[in-house]
Amino acid sequence: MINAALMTGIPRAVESAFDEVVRRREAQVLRTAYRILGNWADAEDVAQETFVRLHRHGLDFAADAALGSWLYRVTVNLCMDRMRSARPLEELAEHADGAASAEASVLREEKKRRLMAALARLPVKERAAVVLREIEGLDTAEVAAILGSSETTVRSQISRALDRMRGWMEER
Amino acid sequence: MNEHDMRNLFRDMRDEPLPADSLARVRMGVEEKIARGSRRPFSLRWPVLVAGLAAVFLLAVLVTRPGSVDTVPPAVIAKKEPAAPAPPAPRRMPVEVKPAPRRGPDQVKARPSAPKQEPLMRLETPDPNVVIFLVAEGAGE
Repeated sequence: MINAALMTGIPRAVESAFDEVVRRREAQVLRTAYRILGNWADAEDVAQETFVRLHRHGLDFAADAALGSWLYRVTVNLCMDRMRSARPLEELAEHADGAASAEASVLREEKKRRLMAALARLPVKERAAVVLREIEGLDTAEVAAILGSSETTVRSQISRALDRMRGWMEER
Repeated sequence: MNEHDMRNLFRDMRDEPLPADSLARVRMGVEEKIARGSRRPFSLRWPVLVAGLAAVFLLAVLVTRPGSVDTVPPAVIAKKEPAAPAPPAPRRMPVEVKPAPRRGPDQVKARPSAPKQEPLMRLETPDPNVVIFLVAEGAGE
């Protein structure tokens, strides 16, 4: 739960509450944006914009979970907007290749690299569903609420996505 | 690789540390953008200010427009209503002062059937020369 003192009070207290929220949530937002967009520069831009919007919105959330869902939703929407309007996936592969070449001796890292590359090939909505469900560990109902879909849709999206990713990884 | 392996790898990704410089850039960017936004309050407020000034100007024009005060305020009439049931003294009525011409006996007979015009209500207007009388119609008409 978000401490009630963080939610109310004089402007200075609100500012420090906001800083506290940024510190606690920056990893969640940046990681989600990076896994969807596949490059750090765009992920950083999206993370910044997400927190600026939070500042504009205010910290009036009933619970910490509501704040978390709100941040996920804004992050995913900003990522989708960015994917529609810009170069998306090349950098993901480049970054993954670089990371892999640095740690090529580690089999697990190689598998991760291939998994990221497969993730990058998914349509953005399926990718967001996989990132939220499998990497962020949210339950299906939360993912459905964030993406504005039904639970059934999310389940089938994730199942189809994992099948396709497995197929792509075996191609190589 | 089966689904279980994939899920394990995803879990690994969740636990991976994020680059410290990326996190620092996010924090700095957020602070900068918020500060930049709060440094320009006038640019956000000027349309509201202009609209407010326009509204004040319009109000001033409407109030000072000639003829706008010529109308009789309803409060004047409303104030007089309680006194209305008591009929005013006949001497204050604007009845014609000319003596009636002499009539024949038949004309005299017809006179009682004419409606008796007694004022029920007297309304004063801002103009002292204008007084409004409300007169009841005779019964049977």
